[in-house]
Amino acid sequence: MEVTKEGIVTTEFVGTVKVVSFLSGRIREEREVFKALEELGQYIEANPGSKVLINLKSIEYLSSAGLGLLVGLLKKSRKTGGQFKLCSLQETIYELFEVMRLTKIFEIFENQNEALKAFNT
Amino acid sequence: MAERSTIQGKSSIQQVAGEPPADLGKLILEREMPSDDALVTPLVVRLTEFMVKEGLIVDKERNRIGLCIEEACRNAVHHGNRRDFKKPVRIKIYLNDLNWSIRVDDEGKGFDLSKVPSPVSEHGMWGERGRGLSLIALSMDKVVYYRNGSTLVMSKEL
Repeated sequence: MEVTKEGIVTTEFVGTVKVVSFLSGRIREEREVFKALEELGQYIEANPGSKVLINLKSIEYLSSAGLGLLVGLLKKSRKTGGQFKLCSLQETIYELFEVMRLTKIFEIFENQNEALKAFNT
Repeated sequence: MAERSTIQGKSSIQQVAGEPPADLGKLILEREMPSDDALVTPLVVRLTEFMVKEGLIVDKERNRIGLCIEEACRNAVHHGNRRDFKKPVRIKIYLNDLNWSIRVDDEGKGFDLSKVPSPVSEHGMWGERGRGLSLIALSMDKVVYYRNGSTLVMSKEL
């Protein structure tokens, strides 16, 4: 299994699922997180039917712009017939998703293994 | 008369036409920045460090309160000052016996809070923008827009 690391972002394929994780996700690193999400958007558009999992375990800061980027990725994925899931949200981040009712539109899993099992083959 | 928005968090957001009250407390910090997106995060980091040092917030509140400052400043930069670098965003922190307040001023014409769409409606959930005010309302005890929307005062009890 090949893991690509670029700054605070790691990318790997687990089977056919592209898993994007962050080594750190403090306010100072928000720009780097945004850049990775924007690149992921390009990947989803270029690969119809793609399976993408974002592991948010290390993300401790997410602004409205970050939430908006994730919604944008979900829409791109749906439009291109892909599957898009999130996992391992910290409690405070999950609370933001709940208050914004984003738990209704995202598939969110407690951990990476659970999320990977939920992808349709 | 105060208008209440449809945006609800822990507190609701109000809007009044006039000036903010003069008795927000003792002014303990004042900063000004040009309307440049890139300057927002460094400012938020410095302000939250100051607030922790002064005992206004504890370390674990740093992200929540930083998020409120960031959303307020970005709204001022984007919507208030229309990213005009020459127009400043002014931030002041006040402290009194009961609470602290952060005042954010831009040089725009204001806005009508009642026309801001709810980000949690069936349609709003799919939006890629417009969650900033709700995030502020989630963490603050009181949020009021003055001067038709070009001054925001957000307060939290000590």
